Amino acid sequence: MAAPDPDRRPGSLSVIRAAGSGAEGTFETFIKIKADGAVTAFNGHVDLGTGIRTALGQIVAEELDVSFARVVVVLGDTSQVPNQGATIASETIQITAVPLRNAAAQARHFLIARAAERLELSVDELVIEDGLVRGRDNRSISYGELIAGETIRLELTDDVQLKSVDAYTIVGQSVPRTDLPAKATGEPVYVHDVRVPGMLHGRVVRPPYAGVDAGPFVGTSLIAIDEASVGDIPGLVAIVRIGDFVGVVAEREENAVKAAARLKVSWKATPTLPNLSDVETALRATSP
Amino acid sequence: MTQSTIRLTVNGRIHDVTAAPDTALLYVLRNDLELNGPKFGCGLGECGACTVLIDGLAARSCVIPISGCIKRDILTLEGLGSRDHPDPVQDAFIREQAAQCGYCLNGMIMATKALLKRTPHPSETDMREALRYHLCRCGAHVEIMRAVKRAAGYTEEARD
Repeated sequence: MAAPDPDRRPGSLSVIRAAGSGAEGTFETFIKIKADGAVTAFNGHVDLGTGIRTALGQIVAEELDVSFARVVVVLGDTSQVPNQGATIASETIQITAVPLRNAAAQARHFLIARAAERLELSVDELVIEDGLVRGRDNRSISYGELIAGETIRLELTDDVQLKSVDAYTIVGQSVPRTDLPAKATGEPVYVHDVRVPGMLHGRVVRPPYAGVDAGPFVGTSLIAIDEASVGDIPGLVAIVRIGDFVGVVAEREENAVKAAARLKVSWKATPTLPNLSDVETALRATSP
Repeated sequence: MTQSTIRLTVNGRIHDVTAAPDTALLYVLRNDLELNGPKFGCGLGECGACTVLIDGLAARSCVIPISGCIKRDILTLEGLGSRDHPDPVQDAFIREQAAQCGYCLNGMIMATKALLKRTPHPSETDMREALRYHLCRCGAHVEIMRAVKRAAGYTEEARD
């Protein structure tokens, strides 16, 4: 049999959950398996260098019984991923990986049950290798073939049988980080590297009490800005003042740096920080 | 300072840049040439994230004026190698998984490259000295030192 044209089999299997916000009927996708066998996993967090792209890929590959290389992990793209809040508190693996692992397990259960039906065997008689379900006599059927042209949506549940840890072959292995080759060659766009057409550059001029966040002087200490002090800087676009916030905006970054350094700003005298070498006195001075 | 046109050679290509001569090289590399390898870290020449090679020597591009770069070869991380054809130093850092966020990685790799150019068989002290003023806040130092040793050919597998 000739290989089916993937374009003519636009089917997919998704594991979804009703979205917490947004229009009725909208949902969030955790896993999508396409008829061509491609696996995409979605997570609301971003990889800040902890390797979650790699770790989440391992978790999905393990529970879904596909190779690690087959799983594409989409992180933090708010138009595609579930809303799982900010990437904080070491919670990616502990908390947000849990529904992803459940989703992978659900998809696997669904597909192996369907394979058992097609191959007329019991689930116990089947093994899965990289998305290929094999029975006795070398009969086999792939995840893609099981999905074919259908659009299958499974509702995410936490009531799902997970793989036994003893059976793990991918999770627990040291897998090289997938992001490092690009990072070592200067490819990735960090937030600091984002460029938009006509982008301007800014710098902030800090008040003398920088680092102190409480007291009547916070936000009320700016006396005046001498705009003429930076009048000769080319491409200066704006001097921004909001309360005690002072910033400069320029067409070129080096000129924003220059303007921030040169801008003459007068501030009221602000209190000096308490002397913490005498902790008791410092503490007593702050109590009402 | 008024703007003028300055000719720079970056990664083997010639660029005519219009900027004040005292403009730090980093701003030209990042904003005019749109290179992402050299990073803005401190802007004070203290952290090393902006390191490039100028005529083979490691230099902090955030404090080097472009007027000092005329008729010199500037090499950035992008010019060193690519994902398909990494420089041996890049390859060593990838193999040793010597980064977490990777923001300091540019400086670590470029400083190692410069070290091995001038000292092909560095001692442990040479390596530590070369990277001493490159800051990594994630704490990947152990892997970074392993990567430098691998790049220098001191790792068992690196020799075969």
